[in-house]
Amino acid sequence: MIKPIELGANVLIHSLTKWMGGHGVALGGAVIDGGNFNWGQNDKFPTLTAPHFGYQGVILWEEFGPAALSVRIRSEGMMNVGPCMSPQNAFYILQGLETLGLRMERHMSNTAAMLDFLVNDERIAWVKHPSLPDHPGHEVAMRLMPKGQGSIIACGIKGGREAGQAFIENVQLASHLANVGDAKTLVIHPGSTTHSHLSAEAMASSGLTDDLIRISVGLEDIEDLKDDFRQALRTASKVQSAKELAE
Amino acid sequence: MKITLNDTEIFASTGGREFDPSGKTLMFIHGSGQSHLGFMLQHRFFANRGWQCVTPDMPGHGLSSGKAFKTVEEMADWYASFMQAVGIKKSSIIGHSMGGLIALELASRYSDLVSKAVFISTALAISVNDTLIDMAANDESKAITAMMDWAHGSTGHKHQHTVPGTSHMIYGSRVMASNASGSLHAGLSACKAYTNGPIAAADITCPTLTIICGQDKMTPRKTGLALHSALGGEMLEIPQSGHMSITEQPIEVNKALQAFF
Repeated sequence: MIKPIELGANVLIHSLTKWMGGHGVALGGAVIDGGNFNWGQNDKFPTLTAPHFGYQGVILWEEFGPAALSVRIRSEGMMNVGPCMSPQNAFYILQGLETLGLRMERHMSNTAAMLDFLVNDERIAWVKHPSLPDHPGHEVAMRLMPKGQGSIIACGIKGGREAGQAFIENVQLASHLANVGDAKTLVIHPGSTTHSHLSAEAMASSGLTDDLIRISVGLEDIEDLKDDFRQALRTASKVQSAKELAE
Repeated sequence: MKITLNDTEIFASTGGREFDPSGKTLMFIHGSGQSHLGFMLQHRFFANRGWQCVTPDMPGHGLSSGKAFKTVEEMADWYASFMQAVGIKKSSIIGHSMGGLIALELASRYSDLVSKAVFISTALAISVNDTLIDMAANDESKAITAMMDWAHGSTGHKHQHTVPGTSHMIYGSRVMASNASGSLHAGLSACKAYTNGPIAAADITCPTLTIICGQDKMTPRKTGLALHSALGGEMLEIPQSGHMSITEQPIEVNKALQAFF
């Protein structure tokens, strides 16, 4: 999908819980040290270039060179602090990784079909995804991620907060969850859930709108998924109509 | 450890321990395009077991400044000077790849400095392909990629590292790329030009150990066997390793070294 180290990154920090594990059942993370950063170029990284008290005074940059950071993470983070993954979680994530390639292809094809559906549905006010030409990051995303630009879609549902909440409460196949990257499609309406405590000003300043729905497109049959969205949007649009009548 | 030798700042790893040249000393000699980091899994292992370990970076390599030498003989002279500069009166030496050619010269011409000699994944002569030498001159990163491919056996290609999660080939590439530009070309050219191996081997009188690897494409098994035949001494074969046995099969290598020393 994207090769950040080849694109110039030095260190990657990944969640394993999301697409890599793919099922949202195991917490995990990964740090990938590209080994392509000169920690010794100046004195800004003393934890790698000065004697390490926790490692018998070894200067990690001198002894391990390109692996200095990863050795420090292992020796200090893992050895001393001990955030060791449980065997069961490791099993879930390793098994998930076996199908990552296949799953990403399906995530991408389902996302493309879902975008087409949403863009053409009159009950949707707006759609944001890096693959769409009006997205501010479109050009960069197409260049850096030519095989697919991710399976997260943001869209606005006509009818604002109430319609958004109604949509979320009425999907049946999609799951109402704050996670992303699962095999199953996940939807959330921040305005009525995760960010409901924020004032309108705070919402606006963080770029959130009342009508925002975040979709993490999963691997289901796309027609089933579209049917589910259609019926939830139908209900949401009734809320919108009722609101208009009341006004 | 940092010293100035012949007006050049030289770094030598001591495995993270204070170095006492009067103790039982092991000096590791790195190969072409490598540095002390190639012996990462050896020098700390022995430094933490009572040995005085020292792995200098030759000029133009690793954390040493200066320009790379152009002949194996010059390199051997430099190691002898280095030993004198840091106060080593006698040491066991361990050479890998081109470091093995340097060890041949060092042990034969400076026999009073060498107590035992180990030759890992090396030969009496290393006939480097002209295409690779040209590549090192004109497109060093391509040469490094090619060498990483050839230098590793199945363990390396499958990223089965003793330090889980570490990629042999990517780590190796980073180590090679961090040397001064031109060092790889100089080293490969020096290997190709070196022809004194049989004479040097015949002159070596100290105990020797030759480690030969079954999947080695750079100094193939038959050249390792020829070296062992010329040296006599002890021999270990590691069938499941490519040229980079010191990182691919460090446990076997370290066990053999421990038994030999």
